Amino acid sequence: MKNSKEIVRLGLILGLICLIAGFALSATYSITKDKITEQQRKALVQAQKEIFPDATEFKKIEIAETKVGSATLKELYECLSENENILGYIATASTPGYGGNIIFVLGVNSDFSVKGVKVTEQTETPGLGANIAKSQFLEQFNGKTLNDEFVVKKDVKPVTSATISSRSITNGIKEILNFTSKNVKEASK
Amino acid sequence: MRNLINIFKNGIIKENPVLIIMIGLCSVLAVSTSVVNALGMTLAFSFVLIGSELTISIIRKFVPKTIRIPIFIVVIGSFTTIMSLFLQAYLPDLNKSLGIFVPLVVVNCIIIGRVEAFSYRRGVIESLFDALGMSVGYGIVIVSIGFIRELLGNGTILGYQVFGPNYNPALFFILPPGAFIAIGIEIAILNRFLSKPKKVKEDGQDK
Repeated sequence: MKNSKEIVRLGLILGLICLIAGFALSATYSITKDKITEQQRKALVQAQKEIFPDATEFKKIEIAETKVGSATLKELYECLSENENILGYIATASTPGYGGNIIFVLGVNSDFSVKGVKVTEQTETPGLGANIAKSQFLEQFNGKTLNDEFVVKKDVKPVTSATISSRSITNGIKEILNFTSKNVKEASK
Repeated sequence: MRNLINIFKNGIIKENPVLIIMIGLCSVLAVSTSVVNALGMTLAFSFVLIGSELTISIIRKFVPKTIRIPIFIVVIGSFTTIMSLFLQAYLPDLNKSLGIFVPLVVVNCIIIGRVEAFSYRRGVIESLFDALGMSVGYGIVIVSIGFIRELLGNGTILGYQVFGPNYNPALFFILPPGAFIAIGIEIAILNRFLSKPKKVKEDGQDK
């Protein structure tokens, strides 16, 4: 009897502390929530601007999140110039990397070649795989079309000692490029 | 006051968490690929350590011995999550470069080790000084290893070229084995200065 009372007492103390911790966490979450989405927005807008500096408007194309091969397409934007010409498309997508999902922004020209790639979020090994986010690596994709092979160590030079990260971003870019061009072509028919 | 300063100094040399007690090695080895990452990790680590040690020493009288470990983990986990949210909101660049190691602060054994060994038994002020000393001790080690590895493995310090463009970096130091070698050298140097000649008894056994 005494023993069960003791268990209840311990449970109550633990519960109370978890409750306080829970309140502290939810308070922090609600303080930082808006700021975090704003930062993610900002990173996206900045990436869009860097890829298409001439575009004045990024029009969101309504499309559900789609799994394309191993990658996932999240959002698709149409990039319009001042006189409403379509300059190209921007896709935000994620692809599984070595240490978690790699979130990237892919810019596609209106002739469906790669305009530019930016990695906005990744959890690859710092100092090694994380270098896939560097422009020296990502610039080599510029100008590639679906006729290219997209094979690491063939037409894609990988990041030193991070073959898995390099391969997964390369595949991701290929899948999303393929999907975007198919989708856009169908929509314009 | 003397006592407090001693507690602070303990964490830096005599009880340095990494080089002497040898805990929390995983984060030191993994994140020390560059000086910036090492500094960021030190900041994140210090925030959680100071917060947890203070909280635990304040509530230590209400924490029953039998369930102290789960309570420690709840407190440490909460501080880690709070820190991670603030990093995402206000320092997105640092958050990006620390990547996976932010959530891993929660399993850093230095934090739970100090909470259990020190602040569960001592007062608030003493715990604060212990946390500060441990943070500085941890920071010195991880930043100096980051310095060695970035300099030799990449030829840069804080991103600036040091040896000129013709330097062929020893990639080995950025890779995991380089971390083990760098930390081994630091431990050896520190031990050399701390060890006093042992008195040997006549029968040849250590006293």
